[in-house]
Amino acid sequence: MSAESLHLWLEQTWNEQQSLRLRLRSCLHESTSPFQRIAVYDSFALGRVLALGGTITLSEADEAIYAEGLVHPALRCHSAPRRVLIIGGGDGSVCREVCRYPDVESITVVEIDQTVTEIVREYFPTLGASLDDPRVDLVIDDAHRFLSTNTDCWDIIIIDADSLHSTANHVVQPVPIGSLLEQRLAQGGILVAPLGLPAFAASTCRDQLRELAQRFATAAVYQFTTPSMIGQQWAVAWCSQERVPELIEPAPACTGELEYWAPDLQASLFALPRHRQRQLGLA
Amino acid sequence: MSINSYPDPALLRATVAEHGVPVLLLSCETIRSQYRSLHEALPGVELHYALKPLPHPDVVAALADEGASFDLATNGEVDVVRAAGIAPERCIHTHPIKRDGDISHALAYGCTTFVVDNPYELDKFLPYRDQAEILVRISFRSSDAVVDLSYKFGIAPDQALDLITKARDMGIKVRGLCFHVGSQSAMSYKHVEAIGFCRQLFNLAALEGIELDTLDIGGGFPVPYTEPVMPIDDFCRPIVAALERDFSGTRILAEPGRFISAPSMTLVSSVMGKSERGGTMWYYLDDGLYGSYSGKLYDHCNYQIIPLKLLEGEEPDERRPSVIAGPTCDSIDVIYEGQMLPELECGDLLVSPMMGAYTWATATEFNFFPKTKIVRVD
Repeated sequence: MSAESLHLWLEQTWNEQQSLRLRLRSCLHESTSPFQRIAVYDSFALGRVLALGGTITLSEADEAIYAEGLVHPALRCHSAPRRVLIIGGGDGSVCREVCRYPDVESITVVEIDQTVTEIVREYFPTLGASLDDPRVDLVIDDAHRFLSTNTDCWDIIIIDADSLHSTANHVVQPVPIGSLLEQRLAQGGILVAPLGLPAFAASTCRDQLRELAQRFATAAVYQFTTPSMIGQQWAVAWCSQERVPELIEPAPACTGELEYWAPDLQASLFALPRHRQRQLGLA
Repeated sequence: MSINSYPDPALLRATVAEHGVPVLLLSCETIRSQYRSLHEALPGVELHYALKPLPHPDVVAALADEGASFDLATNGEVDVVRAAGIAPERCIHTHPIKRDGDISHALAYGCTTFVVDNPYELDKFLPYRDQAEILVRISFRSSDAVVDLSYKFGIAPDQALDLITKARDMGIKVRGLCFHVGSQSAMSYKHVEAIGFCRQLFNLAALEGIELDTLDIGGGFPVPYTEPVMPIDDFCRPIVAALERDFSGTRILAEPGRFISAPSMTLVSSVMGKSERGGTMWYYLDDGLYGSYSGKLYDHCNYQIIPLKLLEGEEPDERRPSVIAGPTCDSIDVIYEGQMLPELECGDLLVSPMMGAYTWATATEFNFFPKTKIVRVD
């Protein structure tokens, strides 16, 4: 009997009222690392998907949207992004987008689960390859602990996780992760921090934004939509003490062709519908 | 669960006629149904009945028959489960502070999982490191539980990793973590928060190369005494979701005690004397704070006390503010003041449901008033 006739579905539950189901063609990999369940599936709608703890964190169909959506709105607003820190990011997709900028000198990727990087190298080889860029320093550690024990500063910090809250480790450090991020951002630096999906968790998004707005002179919100969320939008906080989310001219060098982001898209990403502004406490 | 479920008055009268008074009626069917409802509310979780609140052999036998596991804390509790023929693999020993004789007694029985929450306690396991395995108890203070179980025991979360690595360096196997957010929790968000913290500790341990595989979420599952509580399914749903999110694939244990035992016993006592003092009626019962109502002191618990004749449908003409006192000579032995009661006569029977947990177990025999007899009714 083929997998198709078995009707394999991956279900992601968002809350007690809503879940998403994705029809699968086959299961390519399933294992449990010391940190989480890791699975790679072949899906009809989204191609290969990576699921961590049962939640889709990467798919062939939308990884470019997600990675470009986290990287370019920040890097194109910084006049000299030399040092970039990626929190999470073991799948390599965000790293690949940062690697497009030849003027970036160092990329630090802090991933807690080494197994993720190994699985990605096997099943998403073009993504995994970005972690082999000579500028990349892959650190296997808890992000909160890494930030609390490190004294370096970065021009760009990108949180590659479903939300800022989910990267906080309350056991490690009484210092909130937001405060550590503020300390580790260089003069003129930009922090990009996903808040989550406001449609499913408006109050969580609002709470995180409120915390960031207390720390940063600019804490703007932009949104983008990925196919795996079936129309729901990710809300992302764009934070800086000195900069605003306007494109720098001349544009920094950026190699290759993008699939999603373009300079003329920037302003529209930051234009929020009224209901979203209200949900996030902005109106 | 309704807070107004009483055994049939006829059964109460019949039991008193046969066994005298005071008497505790034990329902093993209630033990079984409580176990089943929690088992359904926490699918996949190994339920270790904590013997503390009611270490009765019939309770142990009924739960063993249901497939339950057991949570032991003392040599006496080890002896109860051993006498019941329970396989030691189904038991964990969770007292955070132990003497060498407590460890060796449990190990001789075959129970090999112990709880530790500090480095001094860890040292005691050095001689037993080839047999014993450890759960590290984490302290999460809970302000809204009736009994805060993280006050006396548990290591602060930020010190736990040091204890785990110390154990590793000593050659002692740490299997996982446990916590108790407190007894009689009103809601389960403290459990959920603690589960999230434990995931983060599991992660930090894994970064040290220590793979933990067991999480014990303790107890705290509420039962209704004088106030209704959240139904157990609703209480557990967020816990189940958090475990699915953070601990899929990890062995999960829980240590319910009160939830299983509290509804299983009903106390029937009688008025052994009455007096009118300063315009207030005093009724002296044959059970009190030194006996089955000891939980009022130790467990901070309020029990209902209802005259049996009211349960039988009698409509009182009037009620008066009354004092209900226990039988001993100590003036502290007063159960309730200001209770609105109809006039009672010597020999009248009084009924208290929900008397299974921390009642008989903590009763004393002060003044030579013997502990109230337990009679199994089903």
